[in-house]
Amino acid sequence: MSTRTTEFLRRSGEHDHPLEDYVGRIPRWCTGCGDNAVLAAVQKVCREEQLPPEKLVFVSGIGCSSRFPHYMGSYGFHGLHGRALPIAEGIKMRRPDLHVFVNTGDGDCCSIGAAHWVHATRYNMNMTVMMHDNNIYGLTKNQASPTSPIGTRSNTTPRGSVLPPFDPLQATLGMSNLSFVAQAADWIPELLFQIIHEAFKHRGFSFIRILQRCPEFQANRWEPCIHDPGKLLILTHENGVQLSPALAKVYKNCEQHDPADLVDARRIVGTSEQIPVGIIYRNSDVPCYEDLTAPDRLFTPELVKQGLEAELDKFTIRPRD
Amino acid sequence: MEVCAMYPITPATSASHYLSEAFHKVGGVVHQAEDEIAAAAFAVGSSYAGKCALTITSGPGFSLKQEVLGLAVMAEIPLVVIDVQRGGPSTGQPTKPEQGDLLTACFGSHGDAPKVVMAVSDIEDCFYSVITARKIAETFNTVVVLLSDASLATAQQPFPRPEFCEEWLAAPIDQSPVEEGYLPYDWDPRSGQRQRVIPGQPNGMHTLTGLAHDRRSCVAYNLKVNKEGVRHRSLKLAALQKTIRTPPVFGDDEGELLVVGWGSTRGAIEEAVRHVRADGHRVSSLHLKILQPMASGIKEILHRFEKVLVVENNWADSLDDELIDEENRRYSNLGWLLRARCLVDVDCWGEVGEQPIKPGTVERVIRERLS
Repeated sequence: MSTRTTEFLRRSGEHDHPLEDYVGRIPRWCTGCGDNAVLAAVQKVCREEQLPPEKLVFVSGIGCSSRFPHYMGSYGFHGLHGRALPIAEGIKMRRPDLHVFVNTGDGDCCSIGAAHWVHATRYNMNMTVMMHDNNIYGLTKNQASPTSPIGTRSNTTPRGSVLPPFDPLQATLGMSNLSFVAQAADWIPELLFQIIHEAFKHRGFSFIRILQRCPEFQANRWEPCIHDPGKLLILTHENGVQLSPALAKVYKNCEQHDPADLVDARRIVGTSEQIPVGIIYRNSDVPCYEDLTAPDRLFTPELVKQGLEAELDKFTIRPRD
Repeated sequence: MEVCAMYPITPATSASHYLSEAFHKVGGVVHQAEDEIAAAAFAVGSSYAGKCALTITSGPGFSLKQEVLGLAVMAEIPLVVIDVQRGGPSTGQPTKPEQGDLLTACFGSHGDAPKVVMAVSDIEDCFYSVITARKIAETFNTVVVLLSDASLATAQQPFPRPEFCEEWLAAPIDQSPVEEGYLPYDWDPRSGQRQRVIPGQPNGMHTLTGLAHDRRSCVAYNLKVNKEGVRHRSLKLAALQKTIRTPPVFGDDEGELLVVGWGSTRGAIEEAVRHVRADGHRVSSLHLKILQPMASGIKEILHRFEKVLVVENNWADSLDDELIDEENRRYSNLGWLLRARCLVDVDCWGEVGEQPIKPGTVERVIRERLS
């Protein structure tokens, strides 16, 4: 109901940006690839938050998942293998108005770009990082990745990989200045959406490891979990994610976990036989690097001039009268 | 400049130490990254987002950054890279000056990655060249490598106080809507130029990529489309070249010997030339500031002298060595460039064992070549 006094106000539920505003080019991912589910969830989060498409920047490295920015109707930066995080940091540093998202893979993040990941966590800049973990190098056609299970047969490990898989969650929980870690699975869209949404709303470096299906090179990797939902441990909490009644009928293996509890987070990740899904850790009090290094006032051309003149004056020797 | 991303490395740290405090006073920030690659990528990200950004390093770091420089060339993102050269190769002699990175600066990144390469010759030149470098980078949406060296990084020199000029300041970030039908790589057929759009501008949304791309910034699987991009990026250097003045000759316009140099050796070369000219020798010198693209008219200058000698602070094989002859001699950095560019039989003298090259040394070399 609108009257002359309120007709200029937006009605609740009225969307300026429909889902189509976040749609870019047609994905070239394989049929059944988990990346498609992540794309759909991210586009829904953008619509939910009504984010102006011109204020979104999706940064990626190289790999299947790193094609992501092309498929968004936003700004995107498809950069170098392993280097998505430092590029994203540079973008965010002096542009707090931009919403920065990073799409990276298990090779991109845990292998060639691992050093940047450790330090990106330490900087704690406000961005949402999705690590699409399909346990394999897909774009380069089937090589074992750091997160591949032991015994993975691939083109570089024809007799099976010999090292145990690297655990990204244990690694992040050991990093300094940590502020947000979650784990999601591409085949549970409702939770995937909730987790990405929570990560977006968190102010700081939000890291989500997304368990992702690769029908081409890791076809059966997650089949046991899909057929037996009890293999997943759903972490629910009033400050975390919640299961809808429909989903609760399927995922009965739930645990109340307060994301503020780091000790419990380490216990779940380090000892659980089951695969946790939910928000594992969140600390909203960690300051962001871009805030700590922000200028203390607005630098107008006049102020810049004053600063520069003062700097030049420091070294200036003026002739005596 | 608003953002300087760096990783500690000798002798580039003297500049980043100073900037860490000075930038604070003008609203900028120095970011000490986790490594050299991250520093370059951070600067690329900032510049992409519309900020005036640079990265500063020395030889080993410059090698590490090469892949990122290729990305900036490919995606056409303005970037200034300062390489304070030191003794190489590898870790080499970190505190000793050398001019050994010129060819790396010109041709360092894989594939065809045309970059602008400039060098500073003295302390005053350091001040102004950074501004020029950034303006060129922004005008042509490309990478500008500014070469300095350890002798300048640690030197002091008085020069007239710069008078503030508003044009030095970075332009405010354009956030106005882009016209419908905008193409991110709408290459001008003559100059290769394109209009740069900054995140935040409505209607300008597109994804940059280091993959070969077409005018819409879509990944190009077609070889002809890639060729189009390569050609236009190369044309930008030609467009810049048309705006560069022919450098002036120090001494007479013709004569017996022309000494050519670049970077910090300018003072030593010109002093040596002055000395031998005082003895009546027909010797002149030429100093190159922009080394890639090279100004027009240089070939013509070289042809007006009976002999041309390049003097620089990097390795050149000596014909006095038993195994060295005209067919296997490795020339100094600029020696290679001038021979290829001008088709002149340029002789060279390179030295890596002296710091910095002294006027007396240059004078001795000139007299040897004259006799």
